This record gives sequence, structure tokens and C-alpha cells, in this order.
Amino acid sequence: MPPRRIRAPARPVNIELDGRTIVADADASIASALVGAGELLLARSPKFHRPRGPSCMRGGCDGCLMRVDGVPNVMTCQCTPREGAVVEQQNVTLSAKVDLLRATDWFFSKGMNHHEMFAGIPGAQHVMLAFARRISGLGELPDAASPPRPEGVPTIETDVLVVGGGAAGLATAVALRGRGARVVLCDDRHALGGALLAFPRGARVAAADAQGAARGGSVGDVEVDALLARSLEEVERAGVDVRLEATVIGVLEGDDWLFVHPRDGLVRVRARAHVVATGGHDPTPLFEGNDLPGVMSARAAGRLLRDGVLCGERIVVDGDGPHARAFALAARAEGAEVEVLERASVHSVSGLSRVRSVTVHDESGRATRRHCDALVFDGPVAPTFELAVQAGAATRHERFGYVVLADERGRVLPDPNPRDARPSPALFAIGEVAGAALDPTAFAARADALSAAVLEVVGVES
Amino acid sequence: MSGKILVCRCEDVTLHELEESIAKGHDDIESLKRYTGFGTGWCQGKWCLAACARVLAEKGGDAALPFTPRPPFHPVPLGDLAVIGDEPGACPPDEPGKPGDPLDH
Repeated sequence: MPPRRIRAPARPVNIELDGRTIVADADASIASALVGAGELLLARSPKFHRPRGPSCMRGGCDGCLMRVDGVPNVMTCQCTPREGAVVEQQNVTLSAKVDLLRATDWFFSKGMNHHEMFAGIPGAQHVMLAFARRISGLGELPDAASPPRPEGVPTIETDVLVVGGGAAGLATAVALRGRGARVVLCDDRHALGGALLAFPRGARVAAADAQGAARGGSVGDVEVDALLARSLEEVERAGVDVRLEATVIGVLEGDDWLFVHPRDGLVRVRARAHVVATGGHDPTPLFEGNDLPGVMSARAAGRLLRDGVLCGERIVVDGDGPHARAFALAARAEGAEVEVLERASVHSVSGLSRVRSVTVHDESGRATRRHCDALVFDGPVAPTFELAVQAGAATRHERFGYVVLADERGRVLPDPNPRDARPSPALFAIGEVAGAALDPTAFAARADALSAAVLEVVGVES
Repeated sequence: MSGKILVCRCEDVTLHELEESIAKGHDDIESLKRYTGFGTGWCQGKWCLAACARVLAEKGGDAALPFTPRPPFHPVPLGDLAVIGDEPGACPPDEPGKPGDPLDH
């Protein structure tokens, strides 16, 4: 069964997908609305024209790139719909569901090594080049030139810039305000909450440490919605300067951090200290068909469910983590048949345009096959280190990704060979980006210590 | 269904290609990226880098450091970046970038 809506949109708006009207929620992403209307195949890959669907639902993959209102390559998981928005598939020949160029995928069965293909054969190279240019690429030029931007780059002066509005960033912003620092908090999405928003409604999350009890939470169990509501209220009351849909795009010369907002364009933030709370990217499972629509992270499946969309009726869950556990519970409560794999690993998923079955190997290597609509995976996330490293952070390679190194108070250890001319002078990191498992209670305790350390640098009187 | 295992979705790089490239001697993260093109697409490594680094480390390659993450974090319209050129102290548009200018990598 294709995905379906389990809850009508709270604030319905009509959008159009290739001529068909779909009711979307003004407060949820366009991608959620499309998946909720049963559409998992949203995009095509640039070389092989493989079918693609959303796998992360938070701007970290190519699975939901579409043309929206004549603008190509819009990450539909990252933006909310306006009434009458026109959404179209891109990179397709014939139709989205029957893309003729899919033949490329079968022709190059193992991959396409462009270094050696037809190299050195006069003529063939040019033919190949022309062919490659024709079939590959992402989207076509916009319908119209983009509207003129404001001249110059406005600058926001503040004490501390916090990047990332998840559990770690929210706790840090509130703690810093409590000590009297001016705080700008940027998040690239339309709502605060980060990975907390990747839990279905009603989910509970473990608080591992005993300090949770001391701070008013019950040990072992935190209600995500209550926590979110409390955090947002604290942020509001504390007077944090929150910038939503503000993607911090890079760090220039250490202390110029730039963000782009869809309406305001490019904005510079000059802060005396920077806190990176950027969280983690989904883990990437490696099995045959791992890019098929219907293969998605537990966080993506959880985001969809929070938006009122169930990704399938028969769902296989691979890997462990709070999001997988919460998703499995919530999906079962909605009537889905959910199998959580134990002592077995996914060998492959099959299906022409979306997941139809998954082949699983047990410990002895015996293969069995299950029919299903979705494969949901979970595991340790890969720290979102990009901005921290641009700002001069040292990292350590772990199996799951590159951890930003910080001391016990959250101050980032400098890269011995910084890649930029001048690293940020006062750089801090907290949460999943620093290799910690998602634990809002532990993050709150750490945010307190971190904010004290930041204040020593910034020197604001409390 | 073809049996491809994708290590990089945005550039359609397969595990087979990645392993072949490592075997050819592209056994550090920067060379491997340059040879296969992983991490050079839409997501700039958000989806693929950790997986490719893990495979590289398992094959005995050097995955100690990530490849250099460049701005912008998410793709943005060029028009949003064009204003940088109007800034005092920024590179004049008709001059090549100075070495070390972070926008000129």
C-alpha cells in the first residue's frame, strides 16, 4: 500500500502536483503533503534516472528535489506550501513514473566510471559527452529571473550565535539568555525542535542521566511534546532572537557567519562566540536498493507521522534508536504492521519504483523475503560537522562519522591545521554534533556548563 | 531491479565503483572524492560522507579527516550570494580571488 494520511491537515491549503490537486498542511512540508497523497517517487537521480523519494525529510538528501512555482531544485522537505503552489517533477523524459532514461541504469549495471569510459577513442568521447550532457543534471532554468535582492549585506551584532534549534541549541540559547548574553538562534527549518520533531506525536524519549530528575524531569522517560512545548515557551520568554528558515551557509574569516533567508536574502551575523548545535545527518545503510523510494530513516518516518502521514501499511524497521522505537510504537498504534528486525540484517530491498519487498539475512546467513511498503532504518547519526570545521574545529573519525571535538565545557578543540585563514575565536559545540546521543535532559545540563564557559569569553555581566 | 548499492545518491556512485577506486590506490578521502565524485553533488556529503569514510577505513585507507566542507551548507540561489561582491573589502568582481579567500575555493 502506498503511504497515506492518517490525519487531515490542521491548516489546509491546495497545491498542484503535475495537474492534480493535493490538500497540504500550511505548517508542514510540501514533501509531507505529497507523500501523504500517496506519492513516494518525487525525484530522479541525475545519472541513472533511478527513482528517488524522500529519505531524510530534513534537507540532507536529493530525494525530494522538485520544481516549485517555476523554480528548480527546491528541497520540498524544507519548505511549507502556499495556497496554489505548483509542484512539478524534474529530470524526467516522458513522465515521472515512466522515465525513459531509466534505461541508463540497466545499461551501466555496476556504475559509470567516467574516467575510462570511451576515453582515448577519437569521436566516441565527443558522442559520449553530448549524451551525458543530455541525460544528466538537475532540473532546468527557472521560469523567471529571481526578484532583485536588497543591496549590501545587513549585519546583526550579537553576543552569541547559536546554530541549530534542536534540543541542544534550544537549551543553550535559554541558558545563555539566563546569564544575560544576547543570543541569535538560527535554524534552517520552518519550526524549532530539530530531531525532537522527528518523533511522532505522543512519543516518549529516555533521559539517561540522573540529573534529569534533579532538573524536574522523570528519569528514563520524557514526553517529547511536553518537552518541546516547554522549550519553546522558555525560548520565547527568555527573548532569544530566533531566525527560522535561516540556513547558516558558511563561515568567512572566523567571525563572519552568514545565513540565507528566503525573504531577507543574505544576512551576516557578527557574534563574539559561536555555538554549533547542528545535530547529525542520518546514518546511511548500504544494501542493494538502498536509494529506493520507501527506504527512509526513522527520523524521516517520524517527521512524516508527526505531519499526519504514515509511510506504509507493512513496514520493516532495521536498526535501533529512540526514533525507531518511537516510530514502531506509533505506526502500530495507527494500524500498520511493523516488524522490527532482530538478529537479522537487510540484504536488499526490491521494487521497480518503490519498496515492495525486503530480503533479510539471519545470523546463519539464511535469506528470507518479506513483502513491505517501507524500510525504516535507524542508528547513530553522523555529526553535522560542516560549519564547525569551517570555523576551525578539530574532528575525530568514528565508524558513524566525524565527531567535533570539544572539552568538558563544550569549547571546541582547534584543528591543528585549520583549513580557513582564521578560525573562529570562541567556538563551542553541543549535542549530536559533538558525538553525544540525543538526550534532551543531558543536553540541558551540558548547556548550563557551556553557557558559563561562553560567558567567561564574552564577558557579559549577569 | 539492478543490484546497485549506492554510496552517493546525488552523483549516483555505487559501492562497486568506490571499492574499485580504493583498490586502484585512491585510498585517502580527498583523492577518493575527486576520483569517484562522491560528496560533490546536491547534498555535498551529508548523506554519503560518513558511509564512504567507513568503507575507506575498513579497506585500510586514510579516513582520518573529512574532506573540506565548503559554503554554502545548503544550495542557495546565486542571487543571494551576488550581494557579497558589493561589500567593502570584498574581492572586486573583475579580479580573481585572493588566496585564502573562503569564497574562492
